[in-house]
Amino acid sequence: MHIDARAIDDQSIIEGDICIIGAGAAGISIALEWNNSPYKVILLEGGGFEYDDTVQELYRGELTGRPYFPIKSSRLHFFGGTTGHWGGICSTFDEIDFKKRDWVDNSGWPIKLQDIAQFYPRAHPILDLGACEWDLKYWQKQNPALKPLPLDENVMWSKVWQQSPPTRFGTKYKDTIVNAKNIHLYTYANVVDINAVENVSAIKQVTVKNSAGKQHTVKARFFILACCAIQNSRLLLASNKQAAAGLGNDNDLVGRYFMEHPHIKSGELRLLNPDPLKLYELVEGTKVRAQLAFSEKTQTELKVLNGTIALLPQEFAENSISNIKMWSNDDPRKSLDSFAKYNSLDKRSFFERHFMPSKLFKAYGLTTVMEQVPNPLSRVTLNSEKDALGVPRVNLNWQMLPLDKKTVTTLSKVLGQQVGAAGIGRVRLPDFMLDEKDDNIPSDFVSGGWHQMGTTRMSNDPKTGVVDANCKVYGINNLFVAGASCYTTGGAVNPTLTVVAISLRLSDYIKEQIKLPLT
Amino acid sequence: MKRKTFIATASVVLIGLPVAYYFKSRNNTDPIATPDFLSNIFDEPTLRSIGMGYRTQVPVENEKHKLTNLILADRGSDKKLKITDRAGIRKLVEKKIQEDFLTSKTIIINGWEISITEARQCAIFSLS
Repeated sequence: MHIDARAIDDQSIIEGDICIIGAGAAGISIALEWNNSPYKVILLEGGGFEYDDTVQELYRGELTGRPYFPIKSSRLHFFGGTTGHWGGICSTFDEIDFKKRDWVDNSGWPIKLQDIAQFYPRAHPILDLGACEWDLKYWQKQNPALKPLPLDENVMWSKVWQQSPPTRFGTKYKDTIVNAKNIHLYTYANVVDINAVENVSAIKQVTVKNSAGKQHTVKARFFILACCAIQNSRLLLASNKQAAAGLGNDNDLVGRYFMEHPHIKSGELRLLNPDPLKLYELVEGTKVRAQLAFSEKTQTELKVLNGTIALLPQEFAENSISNIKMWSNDDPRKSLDSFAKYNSLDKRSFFERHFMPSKLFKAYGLTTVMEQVPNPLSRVTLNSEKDALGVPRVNLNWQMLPLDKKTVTTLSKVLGQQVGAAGIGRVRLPDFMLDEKDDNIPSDFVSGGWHQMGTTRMSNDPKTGVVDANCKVYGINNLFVAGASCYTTGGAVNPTLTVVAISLRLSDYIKEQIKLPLT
Repeated sequence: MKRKTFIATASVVLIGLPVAYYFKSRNNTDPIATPDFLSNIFDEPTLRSIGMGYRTQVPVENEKHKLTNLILADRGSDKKLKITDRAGIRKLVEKKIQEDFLTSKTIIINGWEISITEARQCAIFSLS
């Protein structure tokens, strides 16, 4: 069922069993799980079914740290969320990502890989991915041409990635959601305040507003924040009428530990013999490929973060411009245009331009994609300016730490040693890596992946995390957070597959909780 | 063919031939002074530049005899190998280069991560 919140009576009271705030990958994945259930699900979307700049403008914020994408255009604010322009690249987290690592400050999830991995098979069809097989040997049986570089797997291995079409949630799931009898989708329903009961131990209702000047109240038994890392933390911080520091923020953690996946130009691989490196190429139609990844043993021995290396023909890599520079307009449509224009200079598609299918190349540019150290100073805070609906805007202070640079440098060096020992090539490191005393990575070398993580991190201790192992906000019985804002560490892979998996896990948990009597 | 094009083409051929000859006939060259692997991926000026870079970074080795001795040091079971046995020496050097990479005995010169042994080869090459 679909209701336009601009069209109903002002001051409407909307009631349901579950209220999901945000209709992106996380929110829609959860809503689908409740389709045809006896429970009434309220799905709140701030925008409509199409781009609307008035709504998108609500996301505008200020950058106060490292150069980054404009906050307004780094997420899409309409039904389907940022899946409206995501690239569809998926892979799985590794076991080490969940472990407490003594060389990585603030690492260690309260859950293990298996707690998430058991949901990958359910997440696959939602994202239109192929078989839920992540072992390279499985895919080599399907396609023997997928040959890994002959490296020592104890040191560096070829980690499998799969490609979603990409699934546009706003298109694929619109009819299902709109036709579901028990799912009530409200568009143009921007949550501006979360109201708790008197002792702030539970959420009573949320207030929604829209540009038509309407204000409504939504009451439910369970509330799930699913608006993305920046907006989840913004809403918690801005809901400060009953808790001065914001909801769930007794320990000053909401908004902290913001993480991205730095994409760093990290050198060149010069091969002895030209090779298409078919396993590592990403061309139009690619379903499965690999990136070179640090083994757990290597990460532990060298005390570095998790990271992978993508290979791009050098003739294209050396001319590539940082995504952050290309995606610099506040309007996501204009940023997408400049992105597409740059990548279609010779009228070929982006993928064809960058990864020419099966052509033999002797030189490949390296792009390292890595996690970063969870850093409390890398954070989202509230700005003094308010948006059109009266919600404070945000400042984003994205930061990186010395271990981030050590990791990218070490990864290139280890690859150099591996290809050298295998007698297949040599690696050239960029200048910025050569000065070990300098912890900085120049902005020209750093891109992001539009992967916003952290800000409501998961921990088994409220002093070190905003949500517990079940994604429940500490101290508030019925408030949950879905998506990558719960990530304790970022892993070295694109987050969407795990966003869907962790959301399904949360959904299952609430299904159990909803059967319990009200307390 | 236009005159300018002819001159340009002829120049490339004339300059290119000796380099190609040098590298094609490396079986006859000194295996210690010739970085075989690197000569397949770099041109001669790059090899010389790497060699000069090594001599600048490690000035105590800036002498052909010293560099040669260091390349031939730690021969292990290949101790009895004669310096005139070019094939044997070539094999020994290849093995040392692989060991260098496996044991992190590498150096970065002009950005390139290469083995210490092949860096020394380049250094000798740059002295010739």
